[in-house]
Amino acid sequence: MNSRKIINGLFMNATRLAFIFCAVVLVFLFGTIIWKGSAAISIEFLTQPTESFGASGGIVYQITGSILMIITTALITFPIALGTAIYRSEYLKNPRAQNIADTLIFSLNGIPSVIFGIFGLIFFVNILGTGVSWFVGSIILAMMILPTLVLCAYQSINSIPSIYRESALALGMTKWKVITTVLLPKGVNGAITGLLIGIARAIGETAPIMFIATAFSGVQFPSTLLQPVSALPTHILSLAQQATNPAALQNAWGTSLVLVFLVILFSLSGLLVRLRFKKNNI
Amino acid sequence: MIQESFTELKDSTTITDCEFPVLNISGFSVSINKTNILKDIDLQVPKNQITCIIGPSGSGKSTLIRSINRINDDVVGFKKQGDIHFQNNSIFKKNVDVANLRKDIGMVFQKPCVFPKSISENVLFGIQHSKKQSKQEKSVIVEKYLRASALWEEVSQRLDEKGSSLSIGQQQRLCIARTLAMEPQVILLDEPTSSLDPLSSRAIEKMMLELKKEYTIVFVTHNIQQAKRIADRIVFMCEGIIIEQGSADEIFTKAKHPKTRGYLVDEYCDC
Repeated sequence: MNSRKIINGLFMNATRLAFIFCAVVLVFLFGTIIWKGSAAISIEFLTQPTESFGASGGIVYQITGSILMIITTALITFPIALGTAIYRSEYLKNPRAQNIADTLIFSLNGIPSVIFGIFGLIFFVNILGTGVSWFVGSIILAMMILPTLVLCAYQSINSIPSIYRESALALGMTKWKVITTVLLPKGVNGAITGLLIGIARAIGETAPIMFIATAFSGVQFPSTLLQPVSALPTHILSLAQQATNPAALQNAWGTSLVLVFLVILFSLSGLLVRLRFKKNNI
Repeated sequence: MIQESFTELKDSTTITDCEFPVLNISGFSVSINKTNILKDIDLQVPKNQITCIIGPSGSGKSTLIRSINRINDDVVGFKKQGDIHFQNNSIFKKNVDVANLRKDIGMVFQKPCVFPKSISENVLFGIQHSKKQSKQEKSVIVEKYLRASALWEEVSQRLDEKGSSLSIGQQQRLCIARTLAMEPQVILLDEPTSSLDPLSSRAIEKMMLELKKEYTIVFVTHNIQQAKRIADRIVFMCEGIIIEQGSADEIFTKAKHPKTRGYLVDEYCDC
């Protein structure tokens, strides 16, 4: 057998191994969460408020808190990301300015999430005096996932062949019309993809929100912008800290399962929205 | 103003039969990122004629006609000297509304580019943004311009189908219909048949001869036979310079410049 064939085979098997490893990790993780978590799930668990620091009762306010923050986050990020992407793609023509913009976006993406938390604590809670507020949490999460959305939207707008822009311009359309009728449908599509990735990340984040947006117990549905909420990831954290109590530990698994389920739910609804947009896409 | 342009015309030695130029290009040079693409172009485009710009690829034909409707404006590093007048007004003046200019000077590109919409929506794509129309008026427009672009017979039964379902040749005719619907005065065509089969190419050539009754046409091609079939005037370009221009008869029977004669025979030019 010649060496080329051996190398070929080795390489193929190495990639296969990597793939299997990836699949096993995922199955193991999901399997454990479902296995351990399903024991805690019940109608009461999903509809009752927390009692005795999470060891008993349910997680209804954690669920509503997380959903409220995530939806607000999406609403804040989406238009800003789309605007940034359009500006970067259609108006920013100076190569140096483009470079600076890209560097800024990538740096924002590289900031660890706990730094966002500390920034929120200092800027909003201490300097602006907002107190612990779910809305501030949403703003911070929006800042955190902004680069992901911008990059996805930018890539999809930028991948539209320039002949579409030129054809539309040649029909006497203004730049504004070209952007809204030709580029935006595709940009929205990309921004939704970014939103899926961003939201899946934001909904599970603990560090950025634990100082500024959430309280660990005794919280209900907020009636103003400046009230704290409870959220699923911070609830998991507080339950894990009481791991010696088997009831609390089981509820931690149950909460994890609900969190994973929410991520999947958001991803699926995002995919559905994207399919609807795809019809009129280039 | 008019007096001036007439004296200019009389001074010009190469142009003899061009009495009412719709487009007047004078001393026009273009560089992109400091590379000279066009050098000192002087050209007048007469009304209701087909002016064919021929020349090897890289000769600046596309850059020239893309400058006429200012589509090149957005090209990074684009710099120009000289001027282009459309109906005696400079198109580069500060107060010119570029969008309006492009309504008067339509353009069809090398590759057909239909929008991800139905056939009829594609015809209306440009016009719907400049005028509000009733449903009735819209269907009149769609039929009128699909007929003008010789596409009506083929698509009248499926106007609501996607534009992309058409063949490439049909798509290009759809692009022409879309441009005609804007009711421009000048149509610029940048090698519109180069990606089409011979049959579709002939259909478009035939259409051009029909359209010149109402429109002024500038047609870029590197196909000499095609130019022979449709051109009233020929402009031969090479390396960013106009080597020779004149009526089609003149150029094809007794071209003065040896480079032109060489190109017409060999389709090759070592400028």
